[in-house]
Order: sequence, then structure tokens, then C-alpha cells
Amino acid sequence: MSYAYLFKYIIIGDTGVGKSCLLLQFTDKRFQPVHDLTIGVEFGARMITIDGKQIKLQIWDTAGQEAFRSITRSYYRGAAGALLVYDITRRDTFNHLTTWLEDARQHSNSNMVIMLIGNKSDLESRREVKKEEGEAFAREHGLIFMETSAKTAANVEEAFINTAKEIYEKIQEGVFDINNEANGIKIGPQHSPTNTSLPLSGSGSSQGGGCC
Amino acid sequence: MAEESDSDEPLPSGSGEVNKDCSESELDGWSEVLNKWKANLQQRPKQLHTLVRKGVPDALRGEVWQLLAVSQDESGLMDTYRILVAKESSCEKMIKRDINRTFPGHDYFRNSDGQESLYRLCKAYSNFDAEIGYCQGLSFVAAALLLHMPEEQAFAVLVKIMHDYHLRSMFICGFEELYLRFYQLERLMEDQMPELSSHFQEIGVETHMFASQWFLTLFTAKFPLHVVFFILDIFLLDGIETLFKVALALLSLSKKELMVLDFEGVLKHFRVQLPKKYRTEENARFLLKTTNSIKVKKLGKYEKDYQALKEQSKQREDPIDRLSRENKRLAESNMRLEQENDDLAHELVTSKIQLRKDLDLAEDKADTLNKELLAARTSLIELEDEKRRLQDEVNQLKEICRRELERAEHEITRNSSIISDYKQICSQLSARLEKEQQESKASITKIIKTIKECERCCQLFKSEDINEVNGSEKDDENEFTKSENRRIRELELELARTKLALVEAECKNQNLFHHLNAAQAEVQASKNTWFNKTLTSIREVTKKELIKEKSNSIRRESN
Repeated sequence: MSYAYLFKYIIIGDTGVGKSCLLLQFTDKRFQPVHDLTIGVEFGARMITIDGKQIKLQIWDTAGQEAFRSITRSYYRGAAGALLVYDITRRDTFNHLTTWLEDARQHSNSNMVIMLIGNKSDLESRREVKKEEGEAFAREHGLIFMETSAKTAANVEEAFINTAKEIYEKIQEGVFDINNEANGIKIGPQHSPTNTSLPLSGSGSSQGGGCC
Repeated sequence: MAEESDSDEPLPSGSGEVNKDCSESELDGWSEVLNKWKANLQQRPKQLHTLVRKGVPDALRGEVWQLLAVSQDESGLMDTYRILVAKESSCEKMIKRDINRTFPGHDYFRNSDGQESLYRLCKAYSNFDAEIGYCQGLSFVAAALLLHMPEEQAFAVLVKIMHDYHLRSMFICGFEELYLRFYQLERLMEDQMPELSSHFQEIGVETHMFASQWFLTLFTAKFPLHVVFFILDIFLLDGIETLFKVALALLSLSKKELMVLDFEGVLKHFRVQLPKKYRTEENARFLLKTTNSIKVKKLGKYEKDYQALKEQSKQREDPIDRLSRENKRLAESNMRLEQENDDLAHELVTSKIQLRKDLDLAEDKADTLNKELLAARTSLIELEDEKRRLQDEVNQLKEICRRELERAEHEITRNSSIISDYKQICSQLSARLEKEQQESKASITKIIKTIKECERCCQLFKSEDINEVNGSEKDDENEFTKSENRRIRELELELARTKLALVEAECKNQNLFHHLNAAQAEVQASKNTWFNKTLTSIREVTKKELIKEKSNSIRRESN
């Protein structure tokens, strides 16, 4: 299957926030309440369309336990986008965002787009973190923000696609060095690398992830 | 891409069963070996290797695994387990979160019995090994053991696997040794399957992408249970090099497929098709056979090479870079500690605020209670006054009643003395009357006799005088009797009046008695009922308030 671009993503966040479920919902469009614990890393991929272009997303789903960060770190370098996930029903997963972000910023390329995700939005009655708090954190750290539910699929598609749009936009702006695969972006086999002057249609907010 | 068919779904971990059936001939072969072995636990019998490499029958696995791990005589470890399992662990929350994500493919771990057992085992290990605590991946090994033996024994074998079989050294120091194992696997692949190795290099598949789960869980996650058990059989027999043997066997058996797949295809194959392939007994046995046939050599050399490479890259690195990296690392841990500190400070502040709030609330409550207490005290005083007043009244009433009674008694005695006086007078009078009647009768008879005796008189009397005398005497007599009778009547009348007065006085007396009793009863009743109740309730309230106040003040002091 041919594609214009290939973006590599990494999903990070505390254990049990729903990283694997988000990936499964995005790649397979299903929710599995009982699933295997992720040891090390898992992998998923899917094709999306942005601005009429086929874009392949290759996603690394990582183990959330603190001890595994040394393994996770080796996956940051080759990622163009990161989904930083917390669980809106567990305040501690929100409190740990700063350390996750430090880790991500330190080990990734400076242009990596980071999408902050408050997952489990279907569990409104058990909510511990207000949406406004997520928005404020994202604003403060220059991230894109969305609340999702891997269970109901609410905003899952959008979270992955908006991140891709942001990356695509950065490519158009010439921020990304697309010839360096270490940035997590690859140009499709039949695509010319100089063809970057395409108009961008209706992309979302452009707060410029990873600017600090 | 998005639409994956059902067959693309990966196999859940823990798929399969424990089959306790075992053929007679198989058991015979084993029983001989086991007897020999049990006689000398330190010495593995010669035939053991051949038997284990064929796969240990499920019925014997629990026992054989313990014998292989030399954990059977570790009764100390089992005792330790009982202590550790009762202790609290800082990893409890984390373990709980992973329990239902371990072996969800197996019935035992889908229900609470299995989950609790697994939870306890992981918790006990986290208490046993403070450096690792609980690390994701361990739960799979623990679960596999629990399918063959009770918790204490599984704990002893787990401890042996982690320490004596060196699984734990892969988990520590940021998984440094795990990376050495990846490097060794890479070199082994280059040696033994160069085509696949170069294909992986070409498409960008690196060993850590598929082997981290294999190595950290000893292949227990993902694969069907009979394969998991085969691998554990050989692992417990041969130790850590089994990891390479199994990995190489898996790669060589899937080589044909892997060679034609791209990056995504290869990773998907590892995730989905590869574990599913070994669902059949036949394929699993073939995997076992292949694993046994693989020779792993030069592991020591590769290790040296790896260390040399690391050293080289360290040397190549600008000392400034190294220092800055070190600095970065330190800054990072500093930052983390600071964050932790911040979190703790935040927690401290919040809990302080909460405590302050609680204290304020308690103080407010104490204030209101004090006020209530004060009000209760005033009302108590008022009520006591009222009580005193009522008592005075009662006393007064009693006094009045007493006086009235006295007066009545006095009256009664006076009346009775009068009555007795009258009675005496009456009796005297009636006695005199009788005497006089008798006397007059006697004198009359005497006169009559004398007259009768005198003939002249008799004559005289006979004619007229008698009548006259008779008449006058009779008249005199009648006159006297009449006056006596009148007197008697008068006296009787007076007696009746006196009696009446006595009766009236008695009635009055009785009445007064009634009044007195009623008054006394009233006093008693008022003592017993509302007044007493109010007093008791007030007393109780006062007592409670005092206790509360005391406890509040104690709390305030302790704070």
C-alpha cells in the first residue's frame, strides 16, 4: 500500500490509563475491556488521509510502569508525534504528566508534536481531573489537548488525526527535516521530497507543539 | 488497514489448559527417575535431561519444577512467604491494576480465586525484593507457576527463577542486562540465520522490538499454555541460555514467512500469527524439538564484545558530552526528586489545610456545644429553683395539713370527753330516777299498807279520800315522771347533737387526711416525673458536653 508520508508515533503515560485501548480503538475500531498487559512495547499501524494524501501512521505503544522508561526512551528518538495519555478518573496520572513531558522532551527531537490526551471521558461520574485543568496544562506546555474515550471511541480518531495534521503542517512550514528518518517521518516510495508547497485544508489549531 | 479480520486478533495470554491426564508408560518412566532424584536432591539423575526435553507431563510439572529449581527443601522460603504476604506493600495498587491483565485467556485467572492468589504472590515477591518491588512481566511468570502449585511453593520457585536463574538481573539497572541479551541474540542470529538477520536490518526490525516481551516474561505472555510450560521445563533445566534457544527456534521456524514481510508485517507476525501457530500440539512439539536441537555458543564472547562496544562508545564520546549526559541524568533525577518533593509538599499543604478546616469545624462545633451546655446549665439552675419552690410549697401544705389534723384530733378528744360527761350525767340521772321511783313506789306501798291497816282510814279512803289521795298522789307522781322524761329527752337530744358533731368532725378529719395524702402523692409524683426526667436529661447532656469538650481540647493539644 503506497503512502505520501509515514509518521511514527509513540504513546506514553502512566500504567492503566488506556494507551493500548486507544491504539486498538484506532487501528481496529474496537474496545477490549479485558486485554493483555503491555510488556516492553507493542506496535500498531493504520492509514489515514489528510489533505487528500495517504498518510501511514506507525504507532509504538509503550509500557507505562516507571521502570520501563529506560526501554521506552529508545522509541522517542524516531517519533514525530507523541500521545501523552492520562486518566481523567485518576488524579495521580495527571500529576505525573510533568515527568513524562520532561522525559519526552529530553529524548525526542525538538519538533516532536505532543498531543495531551485525557482518556476515559465516558466515566464522567468518576472524573477527578477537570477538562479545564487538562486544557490549562496543555496551554502552559504548548501541547494539543483532547479528551477521549477508547471505550466509546469518542475523539480517538480525532486525537490521532489532529496530531498528524499538526505534523503535516510543520512539514509544510519546513520545520521538520523530512530527509532525516530519525525525526520519525518518511516520505512515501513514489513521492518527491521537494513537493512541499501544498495548501493545507482546514487543519486544527496550530499552537506549535514542542517549542520549548 | 483499519479493518482487520477476526483472525488478526492476537491470542490472549494464558490460552490453553492444564491437562492432568498422563499415560501409564510415561508415568512409569518418570517415577523411576523421580525416586532416584528424591533420594539425592543435589544430583540430577542422568535420564532426567532426556525426559524433560520431551516435556514434563502436566500431572508431574509442579513437583518436577520445584525439584529442578531446588526449591523443594526451601521450607524457610515458604515460611517467609507467609510473613511477606501478610505485610503491606507499596506496590499493591500497581499489582492490582495488572492482575486482570495477566492470563485473561485462562478461566482460573478470570475469576476472583485465581486473581487473588496471583495478587498475593506478586505482593509477597514485591516485599521480598525491595530493589525491584513489582515489575510488569513478573505477573505472567507467577501465573504460570500458580497453575501447577500452591502459592507458597510458587513463591519459592519464583524466588529461585529470579535469583538463581538470574531473571532479576535483567530487570535491574535500567534493564542493562536485557540489552546485553538483545545484543547476544543479534549476534546469534547473524551466526545462525544470516539471511533473516540482514533482512531485519534492511527493513529496520531490531531485536528489542519483539524480544523484550519474550525475555522479560520467559515467553509466558502471548504463547499458548502448553508452549509456555514446555519452555519453562527447559528453562528450569538449562537456565538462561534457553531464552536464546527458544528465540532462535521461533525465528527459524517462521523464517520463511518473515523473509517476505516488511517492517509492519514482521511486527504483526510476531504479535499475532507466531503465537497462534503453536496452538496445535504438533507444532508445539516441533518447536520443542527445534529448541532442543539449537546450540548456543560464544555467549561469553558476545558479552565481552558488547562490553567492549559500550566502552568504545563511551571512549568515543567527548568527555564533555559524557559529563553533560551525566549532568543531564543527574538533573533529571534531581528534577524528578524535586517534583516528588513538590508533590509531597502539595500533599502536605492540602492535608494541613484539610486539618485546619477540620479543626475549625470542630472548634465551631465545640462553641455551639458550649453554648448549649451553658443554656442547659441555666435551665438546670432555674429548674432547681422551681424544685425548691415546689418543695417549700409542699412543706407548707404538709404543715397546714398537720395543724388541721391536730386541730381535728383535739376537737375529737374534746367532743368525746363531752360525750362521756353527758353519758355519765345521763346514767347518774337515770340511776337517780330509778331510785326515786323505787323510793316513791315503796312509800306508796307503805302508805297503802298503813291505810289498809287503819279501818277508819280505810273507810274514809274508801269513800272519797282514797280517790282524792290516790288522785293527788297519782298526779304528783305523773308530774315528776313527766319532767324526768322531758329531761331525759333533752339529754338524749343533746347526745344526738353531740354525736352528729363528732361524726361531722370525723368527716372533716377524714377529708383533711385525703387532702394531705393527695398533696403528698402530688409531691411524690412531681418528684418522679417530668422534673426528675428533666434533671436526669440535663445531667446527661451536661456530662456528654463535658466529655466532648475534653476530647476536643485533647485533640487541640495533640495538633
